[in-house]
Amino acid sequence: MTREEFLDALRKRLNRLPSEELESALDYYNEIFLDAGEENEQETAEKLGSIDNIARQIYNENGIDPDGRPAYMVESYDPAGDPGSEDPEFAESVYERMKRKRQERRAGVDVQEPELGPSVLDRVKQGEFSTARLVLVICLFPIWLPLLIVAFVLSFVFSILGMVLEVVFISVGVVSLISGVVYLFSIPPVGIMSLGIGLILVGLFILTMKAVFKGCFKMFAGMASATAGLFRTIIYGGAANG
Amino acid sequence: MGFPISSGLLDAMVLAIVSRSDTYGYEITQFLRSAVDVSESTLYPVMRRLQKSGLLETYDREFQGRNRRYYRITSVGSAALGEYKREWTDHKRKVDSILLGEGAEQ
Repeated sequence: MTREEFLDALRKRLNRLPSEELESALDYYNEIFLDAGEENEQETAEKLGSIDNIARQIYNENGIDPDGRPAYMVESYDPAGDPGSEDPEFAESVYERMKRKRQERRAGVDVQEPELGPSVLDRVKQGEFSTARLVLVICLFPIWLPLLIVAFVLSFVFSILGMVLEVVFISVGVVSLISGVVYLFSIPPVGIMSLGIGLILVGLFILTMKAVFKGCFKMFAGMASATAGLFRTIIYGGAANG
Repeated sequence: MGFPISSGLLDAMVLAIVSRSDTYGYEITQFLRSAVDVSESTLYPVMRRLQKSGLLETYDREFQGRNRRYYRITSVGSAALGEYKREWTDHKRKVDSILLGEGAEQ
């Protein structure tokens, strides 16, 4: 290998080096060749060793990865400490869980309301509830009381879940947005992903916020009035007949 | 086999060579070769590091129609060399006391 060939190959291999560093290295090796004598070029090239090794040393000395991997792949990379890496799964599972819960909740409300809704109160007002019916209601309390409690507990749990999901959406969303902006400059792909996840979560929060809060309120109001109506039926109904 | 040369020792030897008189890359390697097995490739990162940390400075002088880069020791470099020499003397005495049984305190 001649001096020219050696320097060309080295320049190519060092293409990611800042130009000042590159010229300094090429000057140095050029000078080594010239000082060793024009007639010894082949021998000098052999003595210098492999160009790849030379380039690796120089890259390492300059804090650049010799294989051109981006910094975030080279630095000891801890996925657990990286908010962006866990997010896609998390967001997906939260979203899916939310969808399922919402469907369940909707189904639950639909089932409960015809049975326990204001119709009981209405029917009492209209005098529809006879003493026989009332006796039946009281006698059957081992059946309907557990049902009532279960309905209450279920609606309570779903409401809490709904609220928690909303809080999770907005907080994880905001955190993802912030970390997205931070990572955008250090690790661009992670930053962009994090921004995207943040936007999706905040969007989900805005879309579902009204429905969830309204749903919870309605369900509690419905349950409360239904229960109140039931007890009123029992008390007033009993007094009227006694 | 020979003993591996640490980068600190290499720095110290280069500083010592340059401190005697300003010199250039090829000559430094030739000097070092008389003591240790180093190539120009090993030396380049050393020279660059010493230069960047301000222990050495460079200037160009014309030689046979081309530029030759000379290295000169700075005051920081001289201070560092003094420290290296002191450490080396200490180190050498300790190693000798074990390896050759010289000067071992009884």
